[in-house]
Amino acid sequence: MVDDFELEILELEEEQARRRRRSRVVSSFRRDVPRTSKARPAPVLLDHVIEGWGSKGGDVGGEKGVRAPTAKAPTKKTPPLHSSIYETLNNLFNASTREIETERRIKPNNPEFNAQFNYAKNYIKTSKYTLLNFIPYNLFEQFQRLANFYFLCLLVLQLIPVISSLTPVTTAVPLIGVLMVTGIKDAYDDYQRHRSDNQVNRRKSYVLRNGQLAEEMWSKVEVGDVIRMENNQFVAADVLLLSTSEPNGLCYIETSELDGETNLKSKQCLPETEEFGQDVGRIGSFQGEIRCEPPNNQLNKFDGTLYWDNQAHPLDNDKILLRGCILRNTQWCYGVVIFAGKDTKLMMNSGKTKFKRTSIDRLLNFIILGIVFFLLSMCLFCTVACGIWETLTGQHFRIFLPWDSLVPPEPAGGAAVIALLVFFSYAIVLNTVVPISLYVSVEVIRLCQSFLINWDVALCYAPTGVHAKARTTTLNEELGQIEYIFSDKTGTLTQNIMTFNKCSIAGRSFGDIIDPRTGESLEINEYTRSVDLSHNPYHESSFKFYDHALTDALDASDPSCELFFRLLALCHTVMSEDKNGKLEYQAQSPDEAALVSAARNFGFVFLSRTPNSITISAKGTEEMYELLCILDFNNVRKRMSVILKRDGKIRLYCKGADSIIYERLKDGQESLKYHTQEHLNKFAGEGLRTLCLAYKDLDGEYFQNWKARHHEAAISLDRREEKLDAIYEEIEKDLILLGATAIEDKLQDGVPQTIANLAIAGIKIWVLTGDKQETAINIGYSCQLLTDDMLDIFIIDAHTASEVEDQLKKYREEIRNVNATSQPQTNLSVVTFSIYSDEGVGQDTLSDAGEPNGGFALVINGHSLVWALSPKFEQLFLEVASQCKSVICCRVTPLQKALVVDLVKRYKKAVTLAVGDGANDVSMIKTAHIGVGISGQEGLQAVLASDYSVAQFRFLERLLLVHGRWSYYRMCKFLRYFFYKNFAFTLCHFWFAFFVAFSAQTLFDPMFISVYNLFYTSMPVLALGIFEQDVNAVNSIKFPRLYSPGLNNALFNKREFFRSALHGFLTSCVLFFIPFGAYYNGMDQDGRSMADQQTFGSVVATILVIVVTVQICLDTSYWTMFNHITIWGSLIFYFLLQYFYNFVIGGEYVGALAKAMGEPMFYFTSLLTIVVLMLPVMAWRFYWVDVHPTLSDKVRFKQRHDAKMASKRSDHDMLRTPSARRSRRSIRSGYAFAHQEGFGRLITSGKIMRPRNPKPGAMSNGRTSNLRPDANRVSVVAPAPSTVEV
Amino acid sequence: MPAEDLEAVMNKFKQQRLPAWQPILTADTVLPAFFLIGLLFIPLGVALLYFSENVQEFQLEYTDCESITHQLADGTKRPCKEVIKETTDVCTCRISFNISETFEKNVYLYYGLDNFYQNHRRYVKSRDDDQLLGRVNPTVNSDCKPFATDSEDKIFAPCGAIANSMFNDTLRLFRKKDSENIKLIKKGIAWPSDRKLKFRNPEGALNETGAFKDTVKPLYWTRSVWELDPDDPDNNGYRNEDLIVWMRSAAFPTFRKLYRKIDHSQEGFINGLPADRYYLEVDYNYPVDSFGGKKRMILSTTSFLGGKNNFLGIAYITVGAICLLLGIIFLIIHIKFGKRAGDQLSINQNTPYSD
Repeated sequence: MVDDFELEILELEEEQARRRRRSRVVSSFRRDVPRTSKARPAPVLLDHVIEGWGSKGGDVGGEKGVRAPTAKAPTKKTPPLHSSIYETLNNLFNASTREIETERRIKPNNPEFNAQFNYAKNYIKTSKYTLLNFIPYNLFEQFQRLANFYFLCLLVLQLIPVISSLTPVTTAVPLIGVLMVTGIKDAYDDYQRHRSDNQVNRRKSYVLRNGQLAEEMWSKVEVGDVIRMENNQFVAADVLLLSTSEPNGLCYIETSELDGETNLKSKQCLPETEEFGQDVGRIGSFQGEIRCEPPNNQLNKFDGTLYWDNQAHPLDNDKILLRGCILRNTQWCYGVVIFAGKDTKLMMNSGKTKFKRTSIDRLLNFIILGIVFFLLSMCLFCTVACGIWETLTGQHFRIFLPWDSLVPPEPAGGAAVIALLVFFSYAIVLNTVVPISLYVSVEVIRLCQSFLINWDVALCYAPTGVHAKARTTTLNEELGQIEYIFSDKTGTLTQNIMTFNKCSIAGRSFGDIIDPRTGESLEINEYTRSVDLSHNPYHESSFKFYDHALTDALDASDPSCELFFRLLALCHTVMSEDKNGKLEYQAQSPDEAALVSAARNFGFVFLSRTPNSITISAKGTEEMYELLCILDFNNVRKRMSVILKRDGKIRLYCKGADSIIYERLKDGQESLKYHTQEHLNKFAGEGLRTLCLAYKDLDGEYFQNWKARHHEAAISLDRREEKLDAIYEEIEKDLILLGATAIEDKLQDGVPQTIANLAIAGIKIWVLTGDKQETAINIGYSCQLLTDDMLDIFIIDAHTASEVEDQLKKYREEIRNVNATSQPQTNLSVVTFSIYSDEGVGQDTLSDAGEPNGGFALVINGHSLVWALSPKFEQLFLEVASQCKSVICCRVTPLQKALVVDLVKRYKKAVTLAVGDGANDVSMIKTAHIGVGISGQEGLQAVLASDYSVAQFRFLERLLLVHGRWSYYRMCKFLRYFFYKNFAFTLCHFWFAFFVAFSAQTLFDPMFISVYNLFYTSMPVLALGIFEQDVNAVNSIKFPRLYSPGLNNALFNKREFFRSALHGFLTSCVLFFIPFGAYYNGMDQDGRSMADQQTFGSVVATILVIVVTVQICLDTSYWTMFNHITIWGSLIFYFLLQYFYNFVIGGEYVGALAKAMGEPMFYFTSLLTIVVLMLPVMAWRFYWVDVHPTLSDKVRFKQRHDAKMASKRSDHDMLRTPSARRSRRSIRSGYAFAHQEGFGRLITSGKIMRPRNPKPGAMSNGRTSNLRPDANRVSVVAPAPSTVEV
Repeated sequence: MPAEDLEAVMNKFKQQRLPAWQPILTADTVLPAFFLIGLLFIPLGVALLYFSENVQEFQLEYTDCESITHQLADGTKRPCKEVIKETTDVCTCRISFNISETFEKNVYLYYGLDNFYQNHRRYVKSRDDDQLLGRVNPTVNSDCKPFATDSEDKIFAPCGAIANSMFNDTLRLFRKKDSENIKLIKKGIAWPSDRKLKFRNPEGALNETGAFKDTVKPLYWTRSVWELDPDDPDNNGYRNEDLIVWMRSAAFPTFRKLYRKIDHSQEGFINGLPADRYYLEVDYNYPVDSFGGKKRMILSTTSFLGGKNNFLGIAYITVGAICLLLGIIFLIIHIKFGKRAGDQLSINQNTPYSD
């Protein structure tokens, strides 16, 4: 949610950070990527993210924000030089290279002139393939995957007869299968892209052609065309605004697709062109020349000049509508296309979505590389051994087995050549340690897990029926390893609904319902009866207030109460509107809306305003006030006042932060001040947002005097702001305190509990918000991120590098001091302060004692973050931040959100998750390892960019603690078993090598080798990967610490892999040598020899299948019927297939297994092998479960115990932090106000008041335009998904 | 399954609440298992060892045996392995041996080869199963090379290195006192399944014009394939049991293959092979000398488990003993260090994952 997202970041600092960053990115790429082509800059996502958000000036609502004193940052962009093979190929297929543009020249209505520059057309193409190039291009892409390439090499080797130790079919069939499945998926994806491209390209727009308006498809729009846009339409290209339907050449746009901000922005055309109106003839004959900058991706910058009638008109960003914007509150407008198609800023910003991999994926790649080396060293060993054997024995054995014709006949040379060939032969035989089916199985498991997430009804938000959705199916197990959660605030933690909850009027607190018997305040729940306000014709049914005392006081005409609500009805910048006979407010901030609407419901209804009057209805009687002055709000003043005149009396009404108001109160209200302060503290303790209200009567003469000086200050040219502030300060003093309001920024359901539970699980939660510091801190308290028992809350709000550094260093010292005093007693382990270490206060304070206590929290402001994120201080910042239990970054830009995530990603080897709901979270969602979008009511950008979408923040708990944990647990178990079974299988060949003269003879039937992974052993482990659960869902949430193996990467890491591999290695050894001992010189009961290679191979293969199946039985801890079916089914299937293949199809090994199984020896051998292999595993596991049970073991034990008890006793409710509504004494201020400056001026100037008589033609499409100057209205217009390219 | 049941199962599957058996390794199950396995394996091992010990076996290496047919002029005997390098004549040698204890019937006669790599990759694949199944094709499996065709492009029958190198010593047993050639049975030595499924003669009479038209005998053979046992058509050609036995390539470089069975119907051998002095007469053709191979004659009886092999018995006893030992150790560990049920159940949300 972005409404209260405010931008006040120093443009220059941003720019600098960006440029520093870019140069680093580029240089790091230069190292990594071979430079094959310099011609074309390759788009890099990070670059785009950074560029795109780069120079976000404070031009929201016309305010310029705090600008850096120095000159504009250089805008010339050096094209990044890096490129890759991929890019080269991409160019090959989409060949269209152009000269690099330095200046763009456009003549409107002059296609001939514009055509000479060959500007990009408005046709866009995001698809990758065409029908013709699909097969070669897709194959090329697929073989870029290391695994596929590896298997391709194997296949080629197998085709060479001298080397081939296995038929090529064993590799070809699975490889072709994998390629086909991937190919079909890619084709489908690209088909979707073609469709969405077509959809966008076919959108209609009105183009002026030969003096006539003609309907054209977007793809036909060209640079230099004049197009007409209408209300609620998407802008087709980047256009220069010529004329609009609105006064002063204004037009309003919503830029949610570009920057995620749903508030309206105004654009204004040149006064000269405004005169065109919608006179098609005049526009058609408009003959100027536009010279402007070449296409770039900076959304908030445009430089150009219009030469027309021998005059040069400067053009800036204010006159440009960008592709992807939606026209709002504007009937029509005309514009000249400046950038089209892929040159538009939107397209320049649409980086390729980065392909995310899980840490297990990366580990897997590393492991597989390791395995390949292991494989090669085994091959090398066999090569040497083979060479020795051929020299010693083989050359003499040639009488029975001559060497191949291509091998040189002399002994030494021949042996060498044979040995060399054997190297490759063994590479083929032993390749099954890296089975191709691993990749396929992993994908299948992840896909199933994703479906399970999608199906989970516990993740379904009942009111809307929105399910959680795994939009990326390849990241599930990473959900079980999240260490940092970066959360947006508004719309994610909160509902963005402000409710007037409590108030303190004249030292009396209202809002709590007191139990008449106990005198304690009652919890308000959905059954609590609210106060009936229906006698008021203006009341809103959605407004709920529970304390009857307040209405009683109002009914009794308590003067303080009446004054209190009158102030609320008067002192604001809300606009009213009559919508279908209903009064509606449009407020600039949700806080104001809540306050004004509260006054309305209590009978003090704000009815309407003009630039110099306000009309309210107070308890049914209309009152009109003359508006003399609005002393507008800003962040320094933290208050706003209005000066009104009625019946000759002039009065100033003021509302603002408690500290500010208190400083300006008239002396002698000590008792009232004291009581109100008490109430303020109580409100703050409950996480409510407070404002103090005060008033003052003014003397007419004094006011006139003041007014004159005010006017003087207002028109002064230098230091106007300063002068105004001083003049305001002068009049806002000696106020009389009225009371305080408390507004609840409603949290989403279950947020504090979720955060508490996730914290117990060891997950650190950072809140990154565009909100102001006070608001953010306030929310931090209400959702338990900040608590009063914290040791300290560090606030970093400095504006310069050195100050930020000082603050950071100070806090680091403080943390060290605390650690130094507390650590040695509580924890004997060595605590390192390395920033790479996760040990520290943050974790340790989550001690076993129960409720996490103490610890630090860090609150950092966006402008300080600029410095904290600079390369110089980022490590310092991270060191401090990671020692804090919670971190809140406020007033951050979308770019900074991404940078913070990136910082943690880079320096901590931790898995990060970003959750957000608005377009301003997109960059962060894309940067984090896992992005979660809240599929709320707002636009879809966050969801579209996300990997998972959930309807509510609280679902994260189940998503991580249940699904994530299970997925991780399953995937790890799966991988461990998978490597085990393949080592056990493949290394049998290695042992056999010692007996077959290292000739790469396989032990097993080639048929067995090709289907071992596919048919005999894949199903049970797939079932394990899908159904396995150690602990059920309820207990997974109840015992959040079960999450810690994922955090510590404990279930699958190099050590675990090594252990599995070793297990497999030893298994293969036993598997080979026990049958070897039994079958050596073996014979049947009739004396026939049984020690032949086929029998031995079949025996080992059969025992292998049994052993790995028994092993998975041991591994499976959750036997659903599917596990039974797959496990027993695999065994049965093995024997059936053996029979079928050998006896029906006529396999080479026909009869061997049947013969072996006809002899008792087989059964004794099998039993012995199985027991020898399983016994140590059982013993080992039993030891750990019995002596050092993990929490998981204990919970399983408890689970079984509970089931046995089967008692009806209801389970004790979860031991959650009982503090969600704990009452505490707080001495902090609850002041928070999401308000922007500047609206007071707009109101008094009348600029945004609708003209009474709209221009003729304004109603062209019959829609009523509703002016929505406020930023805080929730947009109901969700952009079409297909066009979201940011 | 009725539709609604299926739906209920589907729903449980989707919500991951399928009913499931959740076994846990506890002392109640694991410790008895250890003791049970231990108590089962030790007697089993003893029994297996007993069977193995009951098997009688006699081995006689004859690689270096001296010729009785080829002598130097001065009368010194020459080993056959030298003789066969010089001449293609049959070199016969004779070795006497003593059986000190009667071999219970049935007694089997084996030839054994040492350091002979029948399992070498190129050797193993150098055969044509189609050909051995009696299918007549114009060409044979290229893996047979260089024993696929002769210089005139005639196909070897059978082709390949395995067939070409078929063991061709002839072993005869004599009882010393009567110099009587002990009757040996040459049928029933190959696997019935092989004879049934893998080896068939081509259609036609078993001669060079019939079934084996356009073929030649393998290079190293002295007889053609249809002359392997002219007396018995069922044991001739590809169905010759000596050939079938040889074609089943051994798993290890040291192996034995059944050569003959002692005919216990003849007088004196009704109950087995009586303790006595015997001699072995060999028509020595097969060269193993060059690559350090060895040739043996083996006489053996069988048991329920086949041949003599103490491995399984010893292994069973060892594993059983280890099991018992582990059982005891774990019992002690469990009593001294094992977590009690109470400990296991007293957990809360702040219980650390592992202690």
